[in-house]
Amino acid sequence: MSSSDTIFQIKGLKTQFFTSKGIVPAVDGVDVTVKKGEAVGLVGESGCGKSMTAMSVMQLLKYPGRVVEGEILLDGEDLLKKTKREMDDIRGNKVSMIFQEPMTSLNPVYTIGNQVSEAILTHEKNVSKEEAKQRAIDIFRKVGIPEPEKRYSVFPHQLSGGLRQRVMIGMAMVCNPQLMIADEPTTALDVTIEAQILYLMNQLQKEQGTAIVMITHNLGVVAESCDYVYVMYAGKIMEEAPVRELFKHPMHPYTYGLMNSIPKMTESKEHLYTIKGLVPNLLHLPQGCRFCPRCDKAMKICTMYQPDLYETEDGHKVRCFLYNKEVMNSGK
Amino acid sequence: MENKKVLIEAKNLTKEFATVSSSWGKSKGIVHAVTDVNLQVYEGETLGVVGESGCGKSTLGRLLLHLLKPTRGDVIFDGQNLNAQKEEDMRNLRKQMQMIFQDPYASLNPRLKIRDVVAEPLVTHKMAASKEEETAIVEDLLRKCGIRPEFMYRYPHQFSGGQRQRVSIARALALNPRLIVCDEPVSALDVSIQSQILNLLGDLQAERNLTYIFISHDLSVVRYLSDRVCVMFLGKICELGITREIYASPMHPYTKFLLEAVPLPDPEKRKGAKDMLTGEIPSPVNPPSGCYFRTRCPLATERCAAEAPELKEVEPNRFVACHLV
Amino acid sequence: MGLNKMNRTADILADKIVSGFSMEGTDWIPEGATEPAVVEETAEAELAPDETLKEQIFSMFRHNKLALVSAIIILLFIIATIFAPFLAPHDPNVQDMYNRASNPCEGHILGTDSLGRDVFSRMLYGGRVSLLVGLLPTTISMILGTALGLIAGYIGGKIDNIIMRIADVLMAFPSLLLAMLVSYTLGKGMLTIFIALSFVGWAGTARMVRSEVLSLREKEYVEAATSIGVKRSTIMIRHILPNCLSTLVVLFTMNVPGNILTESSLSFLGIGAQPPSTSWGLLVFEMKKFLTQAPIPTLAPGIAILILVVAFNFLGDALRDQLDPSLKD
Repeated sequence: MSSSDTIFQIKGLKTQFFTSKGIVPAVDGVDVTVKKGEAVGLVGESGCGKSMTAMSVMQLLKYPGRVVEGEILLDGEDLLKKTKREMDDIRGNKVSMIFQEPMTSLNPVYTIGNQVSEAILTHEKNVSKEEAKQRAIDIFRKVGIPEPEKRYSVFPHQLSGGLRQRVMIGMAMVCNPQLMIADEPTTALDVTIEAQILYLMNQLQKEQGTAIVMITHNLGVVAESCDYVYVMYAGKIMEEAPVRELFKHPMHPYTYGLMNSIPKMTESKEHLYTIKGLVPNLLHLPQGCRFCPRCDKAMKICTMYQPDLYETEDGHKVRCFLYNKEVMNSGK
Repeated sequence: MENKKVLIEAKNLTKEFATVSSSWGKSKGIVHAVTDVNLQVYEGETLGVVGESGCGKSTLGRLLLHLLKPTRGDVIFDGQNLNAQKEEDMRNLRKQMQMIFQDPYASLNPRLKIRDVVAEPLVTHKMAASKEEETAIVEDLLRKCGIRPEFMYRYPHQFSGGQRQRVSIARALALNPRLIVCDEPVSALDVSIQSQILNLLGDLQAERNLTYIFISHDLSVVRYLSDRVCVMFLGKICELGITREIYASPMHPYTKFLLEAVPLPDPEKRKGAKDMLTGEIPSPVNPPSGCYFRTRCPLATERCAAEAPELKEVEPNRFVACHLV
Repeated sequence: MGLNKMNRTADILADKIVSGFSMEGTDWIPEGATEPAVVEETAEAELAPDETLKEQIFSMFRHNKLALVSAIIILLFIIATIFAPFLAPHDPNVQDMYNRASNPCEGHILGTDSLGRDVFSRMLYGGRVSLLVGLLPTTISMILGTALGLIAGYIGGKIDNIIMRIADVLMAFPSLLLAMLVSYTLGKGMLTIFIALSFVGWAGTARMVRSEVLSLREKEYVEAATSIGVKRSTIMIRHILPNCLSTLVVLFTMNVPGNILTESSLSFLGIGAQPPSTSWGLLVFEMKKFLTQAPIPTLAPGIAILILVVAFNFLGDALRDQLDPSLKD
């Protein structure tokens, strides 16, 4: 499985929230593999566990959440076995993260230049203040902030949302991380700005060889910027495939439903395909397949057993009994 | 289109907000939220209003419903000028025009049960003779909007976002309105729930001959639902016309870039740098001279800086505000 | 791994519901998709329909024992002071010259004050003044403050300016000074204290309510009510006021002890309860010289105030949580 160019791997990750009403399995056995310089998408609706996967990787889970099982391997080292101090050093240095709301992730009382050079100084001990400032200005130029020397001493609220997100990306890239996790980086932005930011991220990924994990609910963003896609639903990976393959032949009924519920830019006013019902409450998961109560293709077996990820010929892995040969053949 | 009846019309509609920021209450500047908008909405159609944040689309929706008083200009609803109405008459006119809001969490009073939320318009306009009749109407509305009537004695927080939006729709329908302004009704919802709500809106329109003004930043949603579309930039209309035609061949440079910027769920159609609109949206406090879009427009000329383009009919039913068209 | 299990269930698979299954194209779209999907509620706790306020309060006491204890304590205090003549072991004004400022001794369960009067009896009578001063002016000032704050916040403009400037003036002076001013013009006595505290107290409430209203009136549900055509007065009462409730409950539980303490200060200055009648505050002040000599009679009235304040706070918290439907589960 793990070839030499794998940079980052999540193996059987289980993250649970221990609430007063019971244990919420937010992430339930997720495997993700990221190769060097690859952009991997993690798509799903709210509550599917995509953000919790990222938080588990960064070890930024809030109480009462905890990783209960699994391995998170960055360059062969298990991040879950690191101490708090070691993690502090890894965060922002080897792995960095971009959040949805750029305003809340920047400290309003420091200038943006200050915050970026601070990030350099904490991770690299033998850098002088002047060097750090110069590197901050360089990275500002690189992420397309106009007049970087002037903007160095500007406060976050003086920038627009798009520019703030550029600052965030700059801060994430400044230590040349091996992996960048972007959690809905463009959701708060307007479409024209979103296009700019996605383009910028793709450029940086190519130039610096940074692997990107893109977490989003927007299939358009995935199609635009990722090489390989994982579709998540209720804490589990439902389907994974290379991006072109996935969009050409969505196999899992959920993926199919998701793609067809988006209105097309070229068609109008007929009925949209809908996935019936609601996302399940993670406290009361159905016994069999998690998607089963909403699935048009549900079979009796789906209500009783949980399917595994089955590999198909064209490179998909699908968590659905429709792609299990034994199940499908035995029915005939 | 010509023989269709105009339901609501905006005439030179302008809204300016004063930004008060010093402690002495002195105004530091004026936000030009909506500037000189002229618009006709026909009965039974859906007019989509698209634009990026701060383009004044939400303000326009509220101006049309007279939830905000315009600085200048008039709104004519079914032949009556809303500016000239007395408070009592305006309240009566409100029966015919309703609104669905963006945030399903903020648009329902957390202290009222769903039943009372939906019944409020009935109570306000004394539409039900008795409590029983009221309950019966509420049940009917909820069922129509896909909420089981048994749930009507629950509070909003017990519902998911999509269900709350259904309750919002039920409330808007209670008075049997002719016009509904939908302000980003699906942008807070998940994709699979979004399509359910869009279908519901479509069904209701067909059933009740509703007129929608559908405000959204999501171009594919607008494409799906609207007959005509109005593209706004910084408080002004750039382009207005039949949805199909505008999406097929946008004429205003901004419309062109806006449509191209949408990330398509198709990895074969990735964008390159050349399609990208550069720069940021100018501030509505200090908009550029002439055409507001010129600072981002690659085709801008000297004329664009000197003179603001008028919205003119370049083809039948196609209005564009650009010197180059 | 689980495949063995699956093989065993081959009979189940015989009646699987796959029909006309095809991988691509529109024929995957089921016919049913054209109907608006009926939404199924997830198996969330069923809520009893239409709880009345009485039922709500009962269920609060069932679940929150602290609130129950607090309510019982407050009730006991009230009953004890009402029935003071029957419960008091001594006449509160009779002096026992042999036991002056003494710790508990025979016949005086909480000791005696500096003039040899029974502290327990005096506390029972003094509690009448303290409780009344805690509850009555607070209620009046809060009703006044809420009404003015609502009007100022929702209507705004000139009216807002006038109300808030008056409130500013009232708050600029120490409340004690204002209360003294009122009592000097109206004469000494308990009625004066009530009027003074009611008159001074509304400003703080009005200010809190106004700021709350300013944020609430921007909420979409208020806009929705406007767009329905609901009258402004109805919006204020039905949509804005109930959502201020948690703030008001907290304010009330803070104001009650505040007024009890203010009354103590006023009594100390000779404006409040007039000797020989007394209040808890006055009792503390009278005895403070004897703290080391007779700690129990000195501290007892203070502890009574403390218990009452804490009880009000717990009850207030519980009420606030209970009255907010979104906090209930």
